[in-house]
Amino acid sequence: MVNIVVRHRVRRDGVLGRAARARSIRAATLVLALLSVALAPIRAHATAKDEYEVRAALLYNITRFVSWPDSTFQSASSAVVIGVLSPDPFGDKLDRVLHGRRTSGDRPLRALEIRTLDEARACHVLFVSEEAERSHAALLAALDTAPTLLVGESLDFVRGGGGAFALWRDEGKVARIELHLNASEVEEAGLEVRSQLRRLCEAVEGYPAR
Amino acid sequence: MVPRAKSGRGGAAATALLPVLLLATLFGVPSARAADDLGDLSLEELLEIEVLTVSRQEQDLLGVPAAVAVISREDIRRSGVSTVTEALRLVPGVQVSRINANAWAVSARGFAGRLSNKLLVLVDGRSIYTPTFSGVHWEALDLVLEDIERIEVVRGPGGALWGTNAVNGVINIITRDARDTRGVLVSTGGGSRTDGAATVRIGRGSEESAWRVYAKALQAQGFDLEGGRAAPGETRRRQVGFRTDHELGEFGSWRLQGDWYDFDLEESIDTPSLAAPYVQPTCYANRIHGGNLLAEATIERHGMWKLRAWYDDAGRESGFFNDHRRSFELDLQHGFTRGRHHLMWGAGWRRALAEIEDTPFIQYHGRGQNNLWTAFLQDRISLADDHLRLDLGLRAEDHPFNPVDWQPSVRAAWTPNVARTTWASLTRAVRSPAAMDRAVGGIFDIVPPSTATMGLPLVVRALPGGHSVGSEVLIATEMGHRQQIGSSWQVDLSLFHHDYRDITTYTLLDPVVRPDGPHLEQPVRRANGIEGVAAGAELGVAWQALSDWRMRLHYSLTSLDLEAQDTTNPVYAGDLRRAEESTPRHVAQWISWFDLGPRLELDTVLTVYSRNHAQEIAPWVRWDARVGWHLAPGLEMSVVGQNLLRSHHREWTGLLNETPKAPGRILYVGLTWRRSGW
Repeated sequence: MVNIVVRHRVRRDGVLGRAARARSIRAATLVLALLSVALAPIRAHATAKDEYEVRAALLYNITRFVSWPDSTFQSASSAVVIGVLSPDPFGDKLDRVLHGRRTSGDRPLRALEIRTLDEARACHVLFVSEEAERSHAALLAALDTAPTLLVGESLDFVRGGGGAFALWRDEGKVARIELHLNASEVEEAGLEVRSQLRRLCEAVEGYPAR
Repeated sequence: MVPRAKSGRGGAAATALLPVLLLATLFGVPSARAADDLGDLSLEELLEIEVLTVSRQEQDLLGVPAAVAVISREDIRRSGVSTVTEALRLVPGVQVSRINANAWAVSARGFAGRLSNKLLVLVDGRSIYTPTFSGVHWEALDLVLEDIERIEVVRGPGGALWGTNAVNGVINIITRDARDTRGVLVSTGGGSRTDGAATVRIGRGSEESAWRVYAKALQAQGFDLEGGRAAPGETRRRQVGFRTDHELGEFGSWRLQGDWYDFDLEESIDTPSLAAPYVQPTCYANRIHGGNLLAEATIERHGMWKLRAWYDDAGRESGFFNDHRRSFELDLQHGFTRGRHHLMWGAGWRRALAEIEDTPFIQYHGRGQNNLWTAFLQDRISLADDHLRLDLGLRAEDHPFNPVDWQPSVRAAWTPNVARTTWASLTRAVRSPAAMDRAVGGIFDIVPPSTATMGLPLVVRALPGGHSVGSEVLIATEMGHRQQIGSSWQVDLSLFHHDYRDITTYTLLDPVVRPDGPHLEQPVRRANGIEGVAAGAELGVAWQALSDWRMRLHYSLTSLDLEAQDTTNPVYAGDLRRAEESTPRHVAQWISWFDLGPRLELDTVLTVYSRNHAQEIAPWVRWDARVGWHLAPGLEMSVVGQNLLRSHHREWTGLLNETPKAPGRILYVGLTWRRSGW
């Protein structure tokens, strides 16, 4: 009987048979999984935070120290509307920070994703990410002196881009978010920024913060 | 029926306990409530906090309990590749071997082969895996590379969410939304193997609705043979396509896309013959042509609904093999949230028709059409204040002449903060038998006469397995860890242990002497005959060394140990050896992207492969490099060198007797001009 196509398999398993090896791999996997999970809670308090969680908290704080004229609200209990120009980089982080909180004027807060000019005009605060700044140039140019506070991410935005505030990431030895304020843009929008916020802001070149 | 050795089976129970133990350990310790609510902090405190930058891509991957890697648009552009298939080399654990000018063997975690059948490949949700031959015809895949948004690669079984055949991995190629590709793109190039290539794409529209159309053409030559002699391999490609995306009311969107292609691809195959020299390299002119159309609508009302339908028509004519495949698929998916549970369910129906023309080498013995039904259910549970995610999933598939296949999976991911995730999973995945297993037969190989064959030539004839061929089963245990270290390091590690059973192979029947020739015939029949284990790891380390220098280090370890399932039923050793040893055990890769000033880009990929035993390829180093030059706004030139260290290097010898080619050094110069908006 011709049987040339079958070779005897040389067992290269060494000391452990294949079955035992499979079991020991499983055991090792189990031990590793348990170890990593057991160690996890100890290290859960990380010092570094997600930059958008920080920006969301800063946006909330901006609404605490800025006053909008009454004409921008329909009633005494109308919410302060924080618009986020599409695409929304926050996910649910902004909603989580705003949940259950109110401004100093005891108004509720609401976050919305904004796509059109009309929607943008209806906001008290409009957050413009770097990506949104690029893709909505026309919309931003059309958003003139409405009392909408423009908050961006880039320094260019406050230096003549129409932005009042920039939540800019400073890449020093340690990365932090800085608040940059263009005071003349705020004045043009007819808004007031209280000193508790003003004194913590960096001035934009050529535009005094105070 | 010989009882199978219970080798790895007992371990399956132990690791089924894994997710349960994870939960137990967590609830036993004080819950990890990090001070996540930053709203309570004062302004001064907020401005003091150190922040971590997580890109949108990394954000999407964080917390995913699977070995996912993403090839981004930037990755594709800076790697300088001119086909999607070559871009897949950038993922550790994925093996890409170029067979010749128009053929590749692509697989994940072993089981390499031109018709590697354990990988699901999708383009925008349309499967390009052909169930007839249970493989992907990579030569038929041609896309405008600049319009690919990203490629998601999942190594390991796709779990309940993915479609049929996601056994060793899923490759999901996602093209850009038409609303993001408004404007003009013109790209041309040529090189040492490419006589000329051109792509034109025009996109128009608004933020609400947009469309794009493209046309591309290519003329190229084949690779040389190992000795340096030229071989046929002339390639002519012509393709057009479109995509349109629209908003659907306030809550959704829909899209329609399609492509039509007509390729002439030459291929040299060592055609077997009964007379000396028994193997004759013959040039076949393949004509590959077809088209596809896909429509998808997404609505966010009472959860998220997705409805998708696609039609695919693919034909292939050559002297060696002719077929015409048509597939239609309809899918529905729904996802909604109830408290801590995010539930997803879906159902799909696919109808496939295949007309295969018999040639002297390949014969088809089955019915040309079949229906496939599939349904899935997944529950994603959020625990421990969103830090623990548990995915419980189940997919059911109903193939003709096959009992229903069940694919359950349990996955857990622990994400204590934005900087790290640890995950583990246990999955059962199935590859259902294809026409290749049940109905295709033909001449597998012809071995010249020798004393062992009584002085006669030996013809190895493959017989189809018929309905007795069942599904291949995989039980996969995986775990992994993703970590961001400081603001410039990222580490991604995955470990896997795959337990396979009923892998299809060729079993030996009694040899017979045939009078015509005369010759000795060794019939082999397709059957479920191999079992074994694959284990290994994939490591990816990314380092943003400077603001304009990004590096990555990849490493993969793949080890397969297969054997015949039933020792009284011998298998064709060539197939077994090929399945087990065609993947190099170690592959290491160093990727560096450096921006020299605002205009110049210097990019390098260095890959080191260990020995490929079945292919008889010694350990080797591959160096790919690119210089990119921004000539003017929107105008970019690149000079790309692939496999620079070797003038000829064979990467793969196919099972289909392709004459071994040696793809060596290739040079390509491309010019791309883009203008956004219109």
